[in-house]
Amino acid sequence: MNRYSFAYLVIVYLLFAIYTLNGEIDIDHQLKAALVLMSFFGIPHGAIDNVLFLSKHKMPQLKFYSLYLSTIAIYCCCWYFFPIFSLLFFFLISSYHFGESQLSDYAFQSRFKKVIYTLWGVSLLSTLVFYNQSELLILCQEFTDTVKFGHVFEHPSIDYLFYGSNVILITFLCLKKYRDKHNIQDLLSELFQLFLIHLTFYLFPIIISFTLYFIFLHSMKVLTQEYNYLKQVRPELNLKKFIVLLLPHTLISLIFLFVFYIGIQTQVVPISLFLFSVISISVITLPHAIIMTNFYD
Amino acid sequence: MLLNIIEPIAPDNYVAFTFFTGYIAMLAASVFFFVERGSVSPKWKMSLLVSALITGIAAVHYYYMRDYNLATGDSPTFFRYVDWILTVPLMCVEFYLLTKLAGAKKSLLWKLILASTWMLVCGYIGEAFNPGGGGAAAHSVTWGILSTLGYLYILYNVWFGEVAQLAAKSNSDTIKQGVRYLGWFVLVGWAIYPIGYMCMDGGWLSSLMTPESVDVWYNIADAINKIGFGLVVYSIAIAETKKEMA
Repeated sequence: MNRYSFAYLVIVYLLFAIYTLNGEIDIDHQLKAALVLMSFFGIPHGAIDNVLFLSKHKMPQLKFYSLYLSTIAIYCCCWYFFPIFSLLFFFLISSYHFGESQLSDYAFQSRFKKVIYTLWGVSLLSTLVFYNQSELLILCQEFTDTVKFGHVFEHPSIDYLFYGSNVILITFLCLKKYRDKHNIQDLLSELFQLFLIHLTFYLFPIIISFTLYFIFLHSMKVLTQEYNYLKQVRPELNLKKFIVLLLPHTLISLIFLFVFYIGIQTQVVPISLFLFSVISISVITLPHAIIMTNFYD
Repeated sequence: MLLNIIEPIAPDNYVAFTFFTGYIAMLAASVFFFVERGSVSPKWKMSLLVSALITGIAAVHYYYMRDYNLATGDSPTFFRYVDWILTVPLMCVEFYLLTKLAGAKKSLLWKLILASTWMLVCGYIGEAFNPGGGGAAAHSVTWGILSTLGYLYILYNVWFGEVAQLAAKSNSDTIKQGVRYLGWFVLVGWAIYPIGYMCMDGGWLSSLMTPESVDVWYNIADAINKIGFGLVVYSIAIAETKKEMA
């Protein structure tokens, strides 16, 4: 168990208490809590992509931003023309990105490491969909522009992906421990974290489940890694300076999201809030995942 | 006990089965740890004595719980908490004894004992003095949260706090690894108790397990946690004794 799993566990116990008292948490409270956590941890963990990349590569800021924003723009176009393909592509890059961050401590040398990272992420996302299939379908059917995504979430391959990826992943972790004579504690920690993920995805609604994973096991871990790396590059860095570093792009993102939110509410932007959330997360994830691959390398 | 007052036991009475096996296993473990005190160096004798006490105290309680359950068919909540309130602080004493060589102070011992006692007293109030009716959930949740605070304190201390730091400082891989194994007992093995707590009438997980199933799981978990805990301490003591003699 690491500190992130401990924080995760504390929140799970707290949720147990809330659920015992209330029976459930209504969707408004779920969204508000998710929004606050995303604003404080989720968005900031990708807010210094520029700093991370430019600390390793000599490139003019303008060129960096042009490339970064072009990637986002191209992906937005893809969403317009090929929504189902874009959704599947989003799952693929998210899978890779989550797996890479989760397994970053292992320093894999294998040429199949990218496959292993993707496998971990596929197991995570298929588990999320598998346990919350009906909730996702209801959510998709609620808006006219997301009805078509329902076919993706109820596709029979979800079951195969869920069972297949989890079995292969656990077998791989056990074999790796056996072959590399790794400390059994690493294996136990990894299996415990998988168990916690399965437990929460099974017990709690999809918004709570994903937010818990995304904030406590992903964003907090990445933020710590980013801080530790930058501390090596800039020894004068402290927590306060790190927060200041995170602020500009976090605020820009929040303002951007707020403007679009107003646009959707006033029907100036003709898409549903759900579709907008999926698109905005995916288009931010793509360049972030590329930068993070470079960061971990 | 006279044969004519022995209660008949149905073959599918798993609660009675696990009470009996739990009792005998705890007793056997207690004898084992006590006898094996002679095989370890003097500085490890206290650790094995504490292990023997943990399983010995549990064996006596299991003897009573077994009869109580057979006679009434009820869950022996009272005896369980009496057992836990004696044995869980003793498990915490094991952490102190293991890290004492690396400089653990008495304050650590008292912090762990207080946290474990707090955890159990709050759990007992939440479970045994539940007023029922409308206030039942609020009562059990309030005391459940208070009890969980004690548990999380111990968990944090063992994994990241003073105990973990002292183990890391100990210059002994056996102790480092042993403390980590004991940490797994606290993390996974002890997790059955809050789950059991949430399975009581009106609890969030009450649909998951019947009171009988909770008793079976408690019995299995108790045996694994107490005997397993003792065996880890025993293996550390033996390994360290061998090192000293080499």
